[in-house]
Amino acid sequence: MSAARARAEKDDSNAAAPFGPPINDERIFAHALLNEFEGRFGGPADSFRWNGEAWVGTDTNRVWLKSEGFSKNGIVSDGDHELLYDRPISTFFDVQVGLRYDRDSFASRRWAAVGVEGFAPYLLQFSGTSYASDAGHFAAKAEVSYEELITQRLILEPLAEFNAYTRSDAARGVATSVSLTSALMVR
Amino acid sequence: MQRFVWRFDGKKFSEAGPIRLHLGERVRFVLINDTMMEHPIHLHGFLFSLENGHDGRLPLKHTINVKPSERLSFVFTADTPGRWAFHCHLFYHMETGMFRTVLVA
Repeated sequence: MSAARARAEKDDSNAAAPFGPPINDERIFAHALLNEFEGRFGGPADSFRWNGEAWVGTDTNRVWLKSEGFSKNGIVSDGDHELLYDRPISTFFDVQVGLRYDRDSFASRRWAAVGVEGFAPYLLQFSGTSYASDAGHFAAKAEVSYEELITQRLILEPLAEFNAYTRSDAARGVATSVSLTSALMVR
Repeated sequence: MQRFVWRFDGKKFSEAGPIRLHLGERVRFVLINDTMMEHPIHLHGFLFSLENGHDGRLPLKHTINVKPSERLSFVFTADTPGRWAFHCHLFYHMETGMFRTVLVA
């Protein structure tokens, strides 16, 4: 072994001494997005709807917060707040595990949540989550959206949300049901 | 929102050690781009011969653009000792991990 090689083997790091690491690819990133944040005022009943997500973490370990709800005449319904741990399982999809807390003007519910979140290449933003509550109820939610670029700045975004509950819950106004809601946004 | 990570052989710079070459060694690098982006790959410290099928007239380059789904290879002689950068020259790819140290000793 040459002297130069022995010297190089001794320092096993990638660093280009004496300049230190050439790049830093272990940064912490944060992201917050309000998909819906819309108030409707002046009519017979004021209402407000929000649906947002936020995460913080590295490329491989992240903490997600998702929150949505609907407020009308000061009564909040559809309150769904989720705290999830997120980790990549493939090139484009992450697995998410955590807790969902239904908290609004009605009875509160707690759920365990397991889901998949990701972006099918060039196609669809997708998230699918299944839930199990402390009262033995099961539920599933899937959201799909697609960005159609009318111009580089003007984007048409159809989105669909699918919800299913195995048992009805009168205190929360939930029936045993499968429901599908859809929306079309321009931004 | 999706993550933004670029790597060689499934590993970011921070997850991989250097590529170790013996001084004077003749080596072939095979590049396969399984992404949907082009990657101009730059090797510092050497001129490599692009294996384009025209033996005896292989172009000498330090950077080669690898197109999506393309496979190419180049050969060079590791005749200069030291630590040499090997990276995608789109810096927003390089900064997220598409970088290796080539260690010649």
